[in-house]
Amino acid sequence: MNLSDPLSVSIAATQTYKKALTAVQTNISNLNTEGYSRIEAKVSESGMGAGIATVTRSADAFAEKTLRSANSALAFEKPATNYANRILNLVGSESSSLTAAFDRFFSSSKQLATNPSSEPLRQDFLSSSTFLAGRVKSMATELQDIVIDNNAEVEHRIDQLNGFSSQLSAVNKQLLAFTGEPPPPALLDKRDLILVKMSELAKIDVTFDANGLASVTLSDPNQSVNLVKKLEVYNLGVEPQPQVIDFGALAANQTLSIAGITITAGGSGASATEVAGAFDSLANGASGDAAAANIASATGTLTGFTTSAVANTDQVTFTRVAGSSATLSKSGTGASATSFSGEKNTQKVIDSLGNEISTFSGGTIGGLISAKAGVVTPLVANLNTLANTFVTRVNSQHKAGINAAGTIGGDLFTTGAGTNYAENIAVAISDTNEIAASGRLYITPASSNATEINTSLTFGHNDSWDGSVEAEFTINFTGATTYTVTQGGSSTNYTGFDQAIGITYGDVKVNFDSAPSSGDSFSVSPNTTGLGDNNNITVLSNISSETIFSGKTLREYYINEVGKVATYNDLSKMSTEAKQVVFDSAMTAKDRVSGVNLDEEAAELVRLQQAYLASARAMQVSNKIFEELMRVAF
Amino acid sequence: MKISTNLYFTTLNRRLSEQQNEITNLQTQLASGKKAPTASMNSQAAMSSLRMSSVIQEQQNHKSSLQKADGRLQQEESLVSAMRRISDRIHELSITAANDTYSAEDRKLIAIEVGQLKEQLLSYANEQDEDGNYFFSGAATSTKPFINTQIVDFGALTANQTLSIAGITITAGGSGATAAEVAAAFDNLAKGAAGDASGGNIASASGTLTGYSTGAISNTDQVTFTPTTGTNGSLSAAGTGASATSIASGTAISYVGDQTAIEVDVGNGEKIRVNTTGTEILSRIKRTAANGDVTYVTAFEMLEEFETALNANNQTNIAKAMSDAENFSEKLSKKRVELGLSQNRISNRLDIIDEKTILYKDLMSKSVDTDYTEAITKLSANMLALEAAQSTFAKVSQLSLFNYM
Repeated sequence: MNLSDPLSVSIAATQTYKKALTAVQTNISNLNTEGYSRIEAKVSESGMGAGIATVTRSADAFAEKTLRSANSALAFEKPATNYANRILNLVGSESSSLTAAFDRFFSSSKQLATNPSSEPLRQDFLSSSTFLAGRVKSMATELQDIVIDNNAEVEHRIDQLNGFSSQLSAVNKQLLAFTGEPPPPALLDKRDLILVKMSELAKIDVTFDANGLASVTLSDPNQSVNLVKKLEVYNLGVEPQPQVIDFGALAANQTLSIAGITITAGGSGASATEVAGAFDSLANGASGDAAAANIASATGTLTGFTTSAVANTDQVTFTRVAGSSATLSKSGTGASATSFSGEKNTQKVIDSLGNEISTFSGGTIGGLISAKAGVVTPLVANLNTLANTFVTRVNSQHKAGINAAGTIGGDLFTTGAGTNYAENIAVAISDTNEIAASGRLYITPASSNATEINTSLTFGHNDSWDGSVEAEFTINFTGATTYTVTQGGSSTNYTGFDQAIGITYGDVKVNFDSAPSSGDSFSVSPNTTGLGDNNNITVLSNISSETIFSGKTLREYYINEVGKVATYNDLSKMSTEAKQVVFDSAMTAKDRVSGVNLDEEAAELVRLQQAYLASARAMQVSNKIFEELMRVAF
Repeated sequence: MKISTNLYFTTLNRRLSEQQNEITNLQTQLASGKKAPTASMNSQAAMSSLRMSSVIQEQQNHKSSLQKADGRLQQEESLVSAMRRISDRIHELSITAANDTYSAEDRKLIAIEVGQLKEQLLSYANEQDEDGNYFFSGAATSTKPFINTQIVDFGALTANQTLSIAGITITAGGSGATAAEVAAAFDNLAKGAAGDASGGNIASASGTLTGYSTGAISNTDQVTFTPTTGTNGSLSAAGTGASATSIASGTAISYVGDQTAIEVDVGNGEKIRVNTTGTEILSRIKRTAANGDVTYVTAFEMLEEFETALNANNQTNIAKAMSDAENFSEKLSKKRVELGLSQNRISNRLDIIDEKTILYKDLMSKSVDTDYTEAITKLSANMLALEAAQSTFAKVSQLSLFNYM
């Protein structure tokens, strides 16, 4: 073996070990640096026999990829848990739950049924109606706040993702400078750290070129959406979901105002298409009234939105101007014919080309969007269904009764125009006299009847009842099963009377507790003074046990909705725990390769120090040999 | 397998904070007494709590309805009992008065008492509850159920004077109208005929009679006004000639409430009637004539007839009052029994509700309230685990090769 000069070998060795020691020191000093990958100096033999150290970064591309994927999956679950928690506490806590408000409403209506003319009880009924409307409304508003928070967080996370894209592109640019030579480990650490952070926001697919430049796209199903392509950055964005308004026809001189523009129909009314056309042309700067002769005027300026007409229909698409928080609402005498499709506070994520990205398969952004679609939006919709169904049923009953003024009751609740029923719910009456607790009619047995028979009336037996108080009618029994009904001077004879069935006349049914005899008569008259009658309020108070929600009662429906949120909450908690385990093992796997262990470094330090000391000692020996040689020679 | 120092600390840190969370959770449960102080802590318990508290509330609703109904029935019962005392007294008086030893004068004295009893009965019949609603007027609770027929003594009108009563306005012609002419014009129009056709001195008679039906008293300028259902009994005269006309209360008492039976739902479709109409207790008193014919009189008619008979010293009619009073007492007793039975039903219902409520509360407590034994055991176990984790962490984290360099 051709040995080199021992001194040179020793010198090289000390340098090598010094380099290796530096690597260990670097590892120690970066013990807590986020994203740091351990470096290792590998000592190998050079051609001349001396050891040389090559510094390598301990990183495993596969472990990195697994970690990114586990990170996306875990981050996806967290928003679901957060939002489900928040909503569950809103709808499911005893204090804020709607069950308490509904219970109170039905409780006060039951109390009122015991004494319908009691003013304190009427007052209590009115105030618990107000309380109910207030609770439903505030829950709907809080849900909208949650929707707004979710939208804002999505927007914020998209901004973060765009920021990371820019950082990655900058790192890529630096990496490009090291073409042909090994890139510095610090730069690669930075790159991988950014990729992990990006994967936390959205599930991504990453490819590297020969120089280590990373290109990132979103993962399935959005693989065509680029985020970073080496040096190029493609930013994502959010924009409000356009709302489509379905214009309706206006009758003569009716008006309709939306988003700052008012359309007034001419004397012969205007068709839906004409209204939509006039609106859209004024919104887009043309004079709105030129569009159709049937439009008397179109005035105002569109604010907060831009519009575009949907060709050949009476629909116009409203897109909210970026940065505007305007919401669409309609007013005017002809507003009722116009409807909004699509709910409030919707936004969509778009790619750099403006195309909508509807689903993200992972990451915080995906989790936020999925939590909204999975738990917030359905709850908003179902709360609206609940409010609408309840109000429709209660109003129809309230309108069937008679109030303290002796007139037919009106609506008890209103839900405003549009479909945000829960948010717009309010009590329609302000005076306890307007509470329609009594039945429309009352029955009087003739004093000449042979025996005292208890009779009662029930209503709602004819769907086509016209909403007015029926005129007085009299039932005269002409035999055991025959009777005559006289109303407004004209009499009709009937046969086949059955006491168990009673007599249905129009919308009202007369029930008898025992069979009348021939000659008995009963007159049914408008109940203009019957403030004490509880016929209507009794039926109203029993709505609590009616299955008005396709087989479910109000309470069942609401608790079922809470149950859905609870299930979502439980599932996402379990899912988070499972994903945490996967993430932990991915983290451990990465750490096994890239992590810094102080004991390992200490051992390494001792080992290298000894090697260094030995090399230095060898150098000393060489020196001594050389000196000895010199002494011998001279 | 290598674990980096960083991961070791991070992982341990997380485990420690998880344990601390668990302990805080248990402490909250212990402090609040609830398994789920917030719904998200234990969704199942929160759901049970919602459902059960709503079910319990429903029972409380029934309970409170029943208590209200019970209160009302008690008040009605006490009024019916008071009426019963009157009917008993009438019966006594009728027996006393029938005694031949009494003179006509003595009977007149009894008549005074009967008259007072009648007034007393009327005041019971028109009793109001704590909200000012009448007990015995059916559903027309704001209508005074029993009111006197009123007699209007029409006065003459001078030229062009007007008089308005109960919706009808009479205007005299240029030469004025006599009292009889005004009364006749009024009564005619009230009965549907053209009011001004009756006398040349009436310029016009217009309007519709509301709340009353009328009957002219022949050969006088008086007209009786009988209130109809829902009338509140305050008949008044207005117009420029109103001062000549006077209104007096008559002797006949009419029922102007309605016949509506008010029933309260007490749960599971069971209904309890909570009102009594005036006619149920004070009308249809059976009177059987010697030939077996059955007629019905009201309590007030009966008392008036008795009073008249006493004043007129009419022995036959005094005897009639005896059986009338008996029938009246029987009617009131029957009603009292009915009211008592309703109260009985209510009290049974209340017992059931109380039992149910206790059962439901127990069920709710099981799923909602903290199980202290379990929570405390868990807490101790968790605290032990945390302590162990903390002390081992403190020791293990000090272990480092660097200590030996």
